Amino acid sequence: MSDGSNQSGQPIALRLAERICAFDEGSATERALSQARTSIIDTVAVTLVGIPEPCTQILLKTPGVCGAPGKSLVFGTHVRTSALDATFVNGTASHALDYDDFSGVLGGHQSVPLVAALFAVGEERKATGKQLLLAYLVGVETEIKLARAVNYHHYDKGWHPTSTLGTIGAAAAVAHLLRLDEQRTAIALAIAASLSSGLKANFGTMTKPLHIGHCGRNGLMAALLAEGGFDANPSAFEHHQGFFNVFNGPGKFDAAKALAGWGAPLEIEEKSIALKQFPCCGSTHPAIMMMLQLAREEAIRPDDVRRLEILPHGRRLRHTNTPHPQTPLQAKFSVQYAVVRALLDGAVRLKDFEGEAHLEPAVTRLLALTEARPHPDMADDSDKQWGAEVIVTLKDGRRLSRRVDDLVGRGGDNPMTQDELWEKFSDCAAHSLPREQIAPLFDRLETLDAVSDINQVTQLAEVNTLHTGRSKGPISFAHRDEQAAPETTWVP
Amino acid sequence: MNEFDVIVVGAGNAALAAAVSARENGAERVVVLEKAPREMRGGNTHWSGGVLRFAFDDPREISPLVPGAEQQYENFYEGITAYTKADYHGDLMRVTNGRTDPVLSRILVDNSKATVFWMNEVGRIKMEPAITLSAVRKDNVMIWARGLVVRAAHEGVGLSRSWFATAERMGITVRYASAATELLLDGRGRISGVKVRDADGLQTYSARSVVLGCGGFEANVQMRTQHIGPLVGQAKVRGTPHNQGDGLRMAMAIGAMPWGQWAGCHATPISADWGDFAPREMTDRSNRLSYLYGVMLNRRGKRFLDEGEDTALFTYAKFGRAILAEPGAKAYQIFDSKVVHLLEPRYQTSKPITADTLEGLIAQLDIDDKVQALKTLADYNKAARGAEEGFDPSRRDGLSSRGLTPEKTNWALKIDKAPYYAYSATGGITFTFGGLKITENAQVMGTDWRPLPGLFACGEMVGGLFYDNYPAGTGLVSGATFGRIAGRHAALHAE
Repeated sequence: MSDGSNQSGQPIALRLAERICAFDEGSATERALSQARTSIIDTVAVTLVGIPEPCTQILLKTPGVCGAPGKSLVFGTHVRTSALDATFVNGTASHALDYDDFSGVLGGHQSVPLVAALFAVGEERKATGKQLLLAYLVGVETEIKLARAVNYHHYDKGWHPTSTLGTIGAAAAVAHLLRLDEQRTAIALAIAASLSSGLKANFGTMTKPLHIGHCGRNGLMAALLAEGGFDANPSAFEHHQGFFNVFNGPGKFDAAKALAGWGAPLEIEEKSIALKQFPCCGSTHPAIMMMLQLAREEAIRPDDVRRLEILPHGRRLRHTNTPHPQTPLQAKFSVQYAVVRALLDGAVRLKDFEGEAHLEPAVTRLLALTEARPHPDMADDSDKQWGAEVIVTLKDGRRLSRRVDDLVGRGGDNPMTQDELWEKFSDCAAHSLPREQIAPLFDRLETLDAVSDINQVTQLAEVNTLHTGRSKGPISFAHRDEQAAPETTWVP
Repeated sequence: MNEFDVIVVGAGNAALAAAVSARENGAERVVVLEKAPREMRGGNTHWSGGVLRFAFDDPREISPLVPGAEQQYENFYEGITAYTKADYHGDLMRVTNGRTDPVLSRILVDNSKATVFWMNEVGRIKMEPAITLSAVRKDNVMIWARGLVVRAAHEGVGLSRSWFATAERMGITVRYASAATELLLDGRGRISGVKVRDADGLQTYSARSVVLGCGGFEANVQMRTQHIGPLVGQAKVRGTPHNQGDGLRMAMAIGAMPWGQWAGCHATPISADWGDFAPREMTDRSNRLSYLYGVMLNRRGKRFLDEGEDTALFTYAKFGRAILAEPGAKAYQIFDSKVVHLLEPRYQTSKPITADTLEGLIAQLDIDDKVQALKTLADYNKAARGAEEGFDPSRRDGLSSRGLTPEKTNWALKIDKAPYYAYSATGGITFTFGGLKITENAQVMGTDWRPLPGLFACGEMVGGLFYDNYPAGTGLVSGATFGRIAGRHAALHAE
């Protein structure tokens, strides 16, 4: 244990700032940049799906929110406002469904505190895509290294690390994007330490995503204040009444870890970084993956199935053993439904957890053939707790199966393919963007490194409301005999 | 190390169809040379609407392409009219004034359905009903444009993405930022490879078969001016800035025969808000085709054509050129609040200039004679009509102005309800019609009327299919049809 105050006499915030300011293009490996791109795409996706959610909409309607003029976009709308307010709203939206990426070391979500702030201030300053990617890497590195210093005591005590550490990560990321010098970067971090907050007591409520908008906004504000000449105590982390001692308590942290090995290698290259591929409980994901793989590789058609057996690790099954879900929420916690959906559609999408999708006849028919039980070979006390096996018996008598021993999200050695990422992105983006903007936005995000002004990207996330001529109602076609068919009115 | 069986130059729909087909037909080592960097990949395909025109006898034949459409839409199949091969060929003949190549147009029409199914099955290109593009709402129901029922999911961007994913899955090498500059021949005059310019300098790629699928010359100002004329020379480019005629010049340098309408191109009114090339993010949404609901003013403040002559389909091609002939190759489209909701969704890609008075609007425009502009609008409003007199945006309503030169012969509503909107417009070129002569095996013909051994062409480089105009949705199907044929014969030739 170290309290961080003894080495070289330099305050921690300043030593962190040295590392942040020294971080440049040469510090990022291709693998790190690729992961950063993937995470940013994923975060934009979950932001777009979160915009129509009640937590975001209530926030948007709150007097004073988004009232300030500015150039920063509230995604999926036509609202342009200050970077601070855009971060507040977009950040909240990005965590509304808890569908964003996560890190085991952080005990939380590393991307959502950063991405909204970086886009919002990046639009205002006309940042390049490369600057945004590097700033993102700085933010993730700062957050997760801090987590190494404070976790898991910090988490177990009741702090929401995504929010508490995310505030500081966002300040670091924005400071890098704004090219603040070491002194001002240290001040930004010290201000952020004072603005840090977030209680786990509010998990499961709208206040959890609010933490994210709030922490991104606070981190951004800390950097903007520092840029403007604000002051703060650079010893705000190690001070006896500073971040570590107040949030964790004396002897309950190891400050040296916030700096040790900073940036080499980058935390984002660690295996503990993962994306959520499907919009349902993470415990169902290993079984869904095995079903998708089995159906694809063996060309299984739902009509050919006589029996479907799902054998997850016992700890994965206990809260997802819902043979006949009756509500969309129950469906999200039904490994049986999720696997049946994967078999039926070759994908598991947001719409499968809306309305009465879980009661479709094709679903109930397959659920009747489905059985879930804990896998006999996967012990509760094993260090691998994310395994699953799926066994399908076909009507022709063949018995086919796929098994995985440990699959926590998608990342590390098992990253999402571009096709899988596109599948999730297009599914999410459809909740707030016109269809013709979705693929161009993904295309631009995929090549973010080459973007010369981030506004080229965000313009594709803007929804223009001037023309509302398009009908939203159900579509019906005139019988062919009743038409005088035009050649076409569409012109390429 | 740069030894291959088949080299494909270009990376749009036709080129990638050729690469996939070559691989499917046994070529082990296939390379795609994409001149553009990764972030600009995919040629004009990226900019396209993704619509696929093909012939079918029974509407239910298309059901494997659009699974679930029947559940999703009421009367889906009952609403589709058969589009026979004779219909398709008739449309080709009609819009090209009878000049389409008799052999190639038959190959295109006869293969069209099989091509689209092949794109779906082998190319793994997801498809969907092309409702927002080619179906028209009339009263409470939709009516299909004939032959234009299916498009690639997520339009050209989705199509391009799917082709690249399939190419990568099939083990095809894709080299970005690699520009083919010259075709190489062996001692007997057979293709032996291409010379390539990339970031490291000049490389030699060897192969017995080369497929050229790298587009026309619409982005090349010199070739545009030379072959089509000075008006189109100053047009903005709607698609990729990389279609510079390289493939055509490379092929002609070794004796390939030019074919088709070199003086012809597809051009439309587009926004003048951008530079010489429409931004890639805007895809095909640079079009400005709702002029029929307003008026167009040139920089002298005058109207210069009958905006309401007919529906956009029948006027857009010539109006693109008409704007290019005006001073500064620029015009403004003026609308009022009665009609702004009728504008095509593609207008959303521009921020209009707006004002609460016509004076306030004109004051903000890049018009040299603003007094004349206001007089033109006042004269127009005197001669124009009220909505209650029978305005109908869904058809030619005959609501004509009275006493103007030129008259506005349909949809001549007064422009009198604030706020007012102005959108800039100029002429934008889509693609060129001039190409090379190919055989039915997609082999490139020499000027000595003998095929050049080992050289194949597809896509916009094929000459002779389109003259004056082309039926919407034909370009991609033609590209994939001849790409597929070129890839197959390139693979056979490489054995």
